[in-house]
Amino acid sequence: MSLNLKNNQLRNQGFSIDAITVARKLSFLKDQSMRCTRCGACLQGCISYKTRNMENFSPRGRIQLLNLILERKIDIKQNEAMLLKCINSCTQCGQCSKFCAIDLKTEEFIFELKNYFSKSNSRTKYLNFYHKYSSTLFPFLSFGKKIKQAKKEDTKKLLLTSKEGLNFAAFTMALLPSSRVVKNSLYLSEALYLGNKDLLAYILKNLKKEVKSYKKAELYTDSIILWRFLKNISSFKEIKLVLPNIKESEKKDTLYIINNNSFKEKEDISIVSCLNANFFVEFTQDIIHTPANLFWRDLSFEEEQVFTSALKKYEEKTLIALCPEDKIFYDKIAKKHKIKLDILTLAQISDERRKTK
Amino acid sequence: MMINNNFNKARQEISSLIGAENVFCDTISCLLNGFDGSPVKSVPQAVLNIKKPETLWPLINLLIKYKIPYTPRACATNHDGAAVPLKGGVILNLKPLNKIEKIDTKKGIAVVQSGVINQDLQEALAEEGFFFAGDPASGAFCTLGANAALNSGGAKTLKYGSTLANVLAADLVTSTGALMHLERNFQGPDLLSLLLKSEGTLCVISRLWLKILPLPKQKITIQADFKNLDQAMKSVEEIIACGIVPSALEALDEIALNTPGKEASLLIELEEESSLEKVKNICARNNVLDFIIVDEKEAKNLWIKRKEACSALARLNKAVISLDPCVARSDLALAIKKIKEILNNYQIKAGIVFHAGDGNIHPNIVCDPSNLYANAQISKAIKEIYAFIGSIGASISAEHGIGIEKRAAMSFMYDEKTLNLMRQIKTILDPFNLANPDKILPLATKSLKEPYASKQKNIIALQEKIKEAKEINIKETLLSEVKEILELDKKNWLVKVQAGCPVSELEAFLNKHKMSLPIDSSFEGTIGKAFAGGAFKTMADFVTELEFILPNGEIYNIGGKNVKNVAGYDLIRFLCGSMGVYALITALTIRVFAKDTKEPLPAKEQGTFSPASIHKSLKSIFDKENKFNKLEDFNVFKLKKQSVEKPRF
Repeated sequence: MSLNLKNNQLRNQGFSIDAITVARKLSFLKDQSMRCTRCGACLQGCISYKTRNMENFSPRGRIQLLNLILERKIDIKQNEAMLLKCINSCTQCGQCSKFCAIDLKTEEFIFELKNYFSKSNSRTKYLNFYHKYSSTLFPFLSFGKKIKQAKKEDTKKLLLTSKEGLNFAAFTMALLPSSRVVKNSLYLSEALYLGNKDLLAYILKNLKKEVKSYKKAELYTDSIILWRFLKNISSFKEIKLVLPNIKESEKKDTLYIINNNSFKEKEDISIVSCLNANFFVEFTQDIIHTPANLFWRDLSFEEEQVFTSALKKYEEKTLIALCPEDKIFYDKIAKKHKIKLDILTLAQISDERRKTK
Repeated sequence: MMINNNFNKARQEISSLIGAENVFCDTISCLLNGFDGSPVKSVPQAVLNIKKPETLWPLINLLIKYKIPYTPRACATNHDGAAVPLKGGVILNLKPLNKIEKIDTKKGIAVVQSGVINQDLQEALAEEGFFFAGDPASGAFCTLGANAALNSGGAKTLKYGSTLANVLAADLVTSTGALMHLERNFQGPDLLSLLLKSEGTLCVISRLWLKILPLPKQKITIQADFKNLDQAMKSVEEIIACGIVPSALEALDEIALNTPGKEASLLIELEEESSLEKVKNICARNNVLDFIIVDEKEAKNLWIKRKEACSALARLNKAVISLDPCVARSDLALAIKKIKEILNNYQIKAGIVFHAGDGNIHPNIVCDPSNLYANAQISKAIKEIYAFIGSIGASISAEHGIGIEKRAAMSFMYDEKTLNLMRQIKTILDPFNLANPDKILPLATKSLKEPYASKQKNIIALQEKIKEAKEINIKETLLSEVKEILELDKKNWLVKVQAGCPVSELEAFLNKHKMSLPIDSSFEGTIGKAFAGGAFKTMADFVTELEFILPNGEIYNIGGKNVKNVAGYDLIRFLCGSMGVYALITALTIRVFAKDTKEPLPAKEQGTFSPASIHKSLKSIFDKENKFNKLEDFNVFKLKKQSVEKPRF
């Protein structure tokens, strides 16, 4: 079957669209992954290789893995445990393709691999969903790369952005024009989520180094999770939390997940979720848990009931989510239980504001 | 792959030694750790993560006990297949040993574990204002252990020497199962270099002591474009001929450059402003198109472009095969012309990048591995290139190593007796062929090179004398009639001299030509004594060719006029300081420098050395009948244990 035919022609020959796209994708993947010369240039960028020190967790290794799968040299069912380890260790940050001399987009291959295995693993599915989501809604901010940066000389403020705050990065960029996003903070939240201790230690070490190199700069973050985490580490004590201010008049028909007070720059904040996330047994009052924290696992039946009953109260109103994960999470539940809700993220509000200005 | 059940027997012991979490036997781990930068692939039986350097010694002894083949591997970015487990067995993953243990700027020493990435060390050193001179193009993603094992070169080799010249000491586990700390300063033959530069066939490295140097105060980077490759080559020749030693002198050809109208481009890095004017004049004389002195940012970009050139060529097709022959600088233009001719005959596309300063050419052949016809053509062309390189007495490998890919080509370069000598070294130090098996030396092919024979009458007489004698004491007086200065090569800055020539006489001869030796000229004695007597332990860094006679009267010649050579075991370095125990050195080719530009090596007191069992087993190869100087005479400090000495620093 020639894959150069157009979709229409193929359909006339009796192929289903699904089969065509799958076949196209496979041949594309094979073509691309065969091009890898195994020179190893990608190794210098890969954070999972640097921390795990094994070829299984390197971009080059993953491309070879894809090759082996496409050539059917690996029994997928028998080797599922290691396969998932290899694939899930990829943070899809795109650093490897930055160093690749022939521009192989390894993170995209992993995207396909993750998609392929998503049926059996819920965490992978979410991860993947997030990446797809962030790249379609915020194409100018594809993760780990193209963040617009102020010139190094002008930098006065350093931004730490977490993964869920990616669009916040754009938002805060507007607030603080002469600021610079610290690269390692992007991985930091990934490490927090994945609970990878090696990765965490490695990133913290590099983060300290990077922050030290800007002597006069102040450290800001818009991610509550990062702020909480770094505040407890002695060398990051000066870190400030920046959250957007929203006027009283704008709040009428909308529902905020976080308390009004928390929208101001404050050292200590208390956040009470309207959706009663704090009622869950394992959470205590003094730790902030946005739904994003729950995002990484499947909800139990009881947890889901609490969420749906809370959401139902606000039917046909606008809901503002703290971060994209929150939005994905609410979207998912609302869709499942057929609740009509308008869900916006803070960044989307700021986008609208900017447009009106 | 040889199926070997021994691993299953040993598995429990190995697991209890290094921890079960560090033993990987699943299909994926095995499949993903059996390749490197070359097209060769194989599958090991298991992958062992080495997380503590201390575990290496008991582990290797365990592997020897159960006769399991092992292959050390870290980032596996090499081009020669040296990290492919040909006989199955286990992969020792040394990448987790990535700690920079100590940086001592006062003594100029950095202590690193073998899995540290070159650039990580460079970055750590740069903070202190220092740098490490070993700088391969893949420095950002290759480990220092591998740099030492392959003696990799790079752009800075011309000025600072290759990696081995910058290694001071090492902790290693030999293939006989001994834990050793070896230093280059130790008296006696240079075991360190012999074992280190064996691509893992004689030892596994766990820790390295490296020489670090203060960063140069200024760096001038020049980009010079030429319309014609010959003009560029001529400028290179003239720059070197007038005595300038640039810290880097790189060149790219039109395919690698991908710019029409320019056939060649030179990238020159100078550390002294005084030589800038000279370089400019030389380039102008050779019709340079553009002569640009670039600023720091631009220079960084240029270097990235140069270092990526090899893999970037893969854009033209699916894969790249990178060769690395090294010829004498004066043969560079001829060699490039011939290589281009061969490639054109077979209609093969290749971009040529080269370290022009030291005559090291990288023809990067672009190919499609699935095209069988083209593959056959390429292998024919490569064979022809190696045959040509062998015929002009140059080296088939300057920095990539031999591994599997160039194994067969060794027969173009060395004659049968030299190959046999190397084979015997491997056999005596690794009788079961377990350490990185079947690498470096050709398995079945017989040498295509004619056996070396000297034409000098005095040397033939000496050969006869040695053959007939039952016992002979190797000392200076033996060579009293072998003291001719054979050749002064002004183009390559080399002098070929017989070993009996006194150092002062040679220096006086060189001074007439405004040149000088890299060693202290006030040394009393012959050049042979300076080399073999142990007064200048690092003199071998400047010796490119060595002629020696073994006790059976056979004469050997290793090396040539090329500055870099990593093919086979490093016998030149091994025999430096060997005190007449293993061989009688008859002639040397030494690099010389313009007068008063290089600080000469100071002479050290000649001492004795304390032979270990490894010295004795090597003696049984070189000198079976114990004809030459006796090892027992040097047995001053009797050692109780195999582990030679504790770390000094």
